[in-house]
Amino acid sequence: MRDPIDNFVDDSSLWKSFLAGNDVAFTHIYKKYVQTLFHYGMQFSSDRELVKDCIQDIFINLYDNKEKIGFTDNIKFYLFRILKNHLINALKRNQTHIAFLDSQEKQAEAYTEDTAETLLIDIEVDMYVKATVDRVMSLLTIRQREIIYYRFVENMSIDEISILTEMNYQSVANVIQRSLKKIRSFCKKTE
Amino acid sequence: MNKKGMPGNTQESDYLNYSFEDFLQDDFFISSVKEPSEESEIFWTNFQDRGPDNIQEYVLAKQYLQSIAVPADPLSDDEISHMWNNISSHREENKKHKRGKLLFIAIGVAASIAVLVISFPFLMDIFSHKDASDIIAYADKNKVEVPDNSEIQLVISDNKTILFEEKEATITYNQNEIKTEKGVLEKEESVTIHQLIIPKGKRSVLTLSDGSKLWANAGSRVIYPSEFGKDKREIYVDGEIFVEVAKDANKPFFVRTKDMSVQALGTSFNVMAYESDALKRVVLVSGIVKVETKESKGTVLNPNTMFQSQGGDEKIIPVEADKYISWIKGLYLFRNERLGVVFERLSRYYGIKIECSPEASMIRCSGKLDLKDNIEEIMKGLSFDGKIIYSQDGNVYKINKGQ
Repeated sequence: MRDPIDNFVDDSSLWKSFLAGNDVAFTHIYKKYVQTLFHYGMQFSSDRELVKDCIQDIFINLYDNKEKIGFTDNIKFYLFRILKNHLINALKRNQTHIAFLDSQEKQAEAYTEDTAETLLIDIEVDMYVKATVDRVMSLLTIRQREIIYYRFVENMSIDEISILTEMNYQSVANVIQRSLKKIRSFCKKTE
Repeated sequence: MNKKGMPGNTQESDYLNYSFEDFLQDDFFISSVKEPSEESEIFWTNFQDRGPDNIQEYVLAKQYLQSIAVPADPLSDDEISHMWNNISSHREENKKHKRGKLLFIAIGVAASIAVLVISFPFLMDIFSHKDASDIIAYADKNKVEVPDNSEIQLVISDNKTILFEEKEATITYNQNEIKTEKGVLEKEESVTIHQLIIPKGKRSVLTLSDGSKLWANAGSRVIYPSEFGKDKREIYVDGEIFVEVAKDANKPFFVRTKDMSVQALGTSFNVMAYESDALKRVVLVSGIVKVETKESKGTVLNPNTMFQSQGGDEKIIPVEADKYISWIKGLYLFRNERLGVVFERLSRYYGIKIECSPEASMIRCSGKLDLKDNIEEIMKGLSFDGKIIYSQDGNVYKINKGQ
């Protein structure tokens, strides 16, 4: 449900308000972005608790250091950036390798279409494909995961991604191409 | 290639040769999966019915897109509040160590979220000129100049005006009547626009029909409907008011001035916007307001913050709000204020002409004046250290730099 306060403030006002010490603004930023941040964080680690801890950490840091923080007019991507950095550092520190998601049973429901062709593929293969999709994420580099996220979850165009990541258009397109190849070839191997 | 409709350049036959990567780099395929339309559904059903060789590629690509879009296990509400508790308890701890910061009302997580949901049903764009409300039009049309120290006027209609001889008039609106020191007046059946005109040297306390209480300073006009409408509460101010807005979750409260619009809900704040003055100020005491001007679309204020506009130059300054509303108690507190500004306010408040020389007006000073004192005593007080000299020429006080 869209929070009524979204009609009230745009990102720059909300951010300015938070920086000036408005606790209501701070609470609202958390409420608005926590779920998306979680989804984004899970691109880089399947360790749920780790991602949650990192989100808590970045909000605490934001609050403690608000006097030193700069201006932004896009809070979501600002938060994405600091979460990613924080998460990567945490992963390096723990030397955690990406855990593999075991429970595929839950994910059988992810397939929603009931076109004739989905029925050609039986449940076992469904779950198998899903498992490989998760596992293959671990084959993608940080950069690749990030760009795949922006492209297929945020639905950003290549132009938008290139502005955000400060890479040129062709580089972004190449990253996507290479990532998709990796994902597909991994699936092929396991067929 | 257009995203929503049918594929632009790609032929249906091309898709028959698509690989997994090709599908996932095709805008039409992506938008068909993310935002299917009737046309796209038909298209892809036809595609599948042909039994193409790359059906596996197609299905894999589609499943991939669907599975990545939504987190496998999103955060539950419990997890979200648990995380928030951790964040805010850390924050509470830290607050004790920090030096006196901003005043704010500490509320628990659940309560603050409830406050957000209930208290901010802002539905409308507040500063569009096409939405030129009756209030603003009335304000323009019915601008009245009144002599200093003349009676306070409450204009109820074209042919009915109530005069008040007192220095300070107290007027209270409720459902059916208007109460004043002079007695009780029945409100008219239909909603009408009323104007309260306060000459220099006078002031008023006005309670509006929703319970909002408003102190109006000298030289001000306040325009408001006898009864507020269904979806918003709106008043017009040319001058200075301090208002305590009554909480009404369904009706945001707007203070319109010539160049500014202040939107609030259940808050108390001071607006200083004399049409004849280039300096405008909004000071928030408690709650939350949004200020809109031609220059900036929406500035959200925290308590103890002042929004100041000097001829288009806008600033946000942390202040001690109490100082800016002391006038409602008959005190004038100022800190490091230019004497020019101080005398301007005194001139309005007392309804007397004060001319301040340019050098004297630049002198800064701090002080606390009792506005119940007569102007002579005030002048003596301000000039006792010799920084300025005052003299009287007929009805006009003249201020010059001392020494």
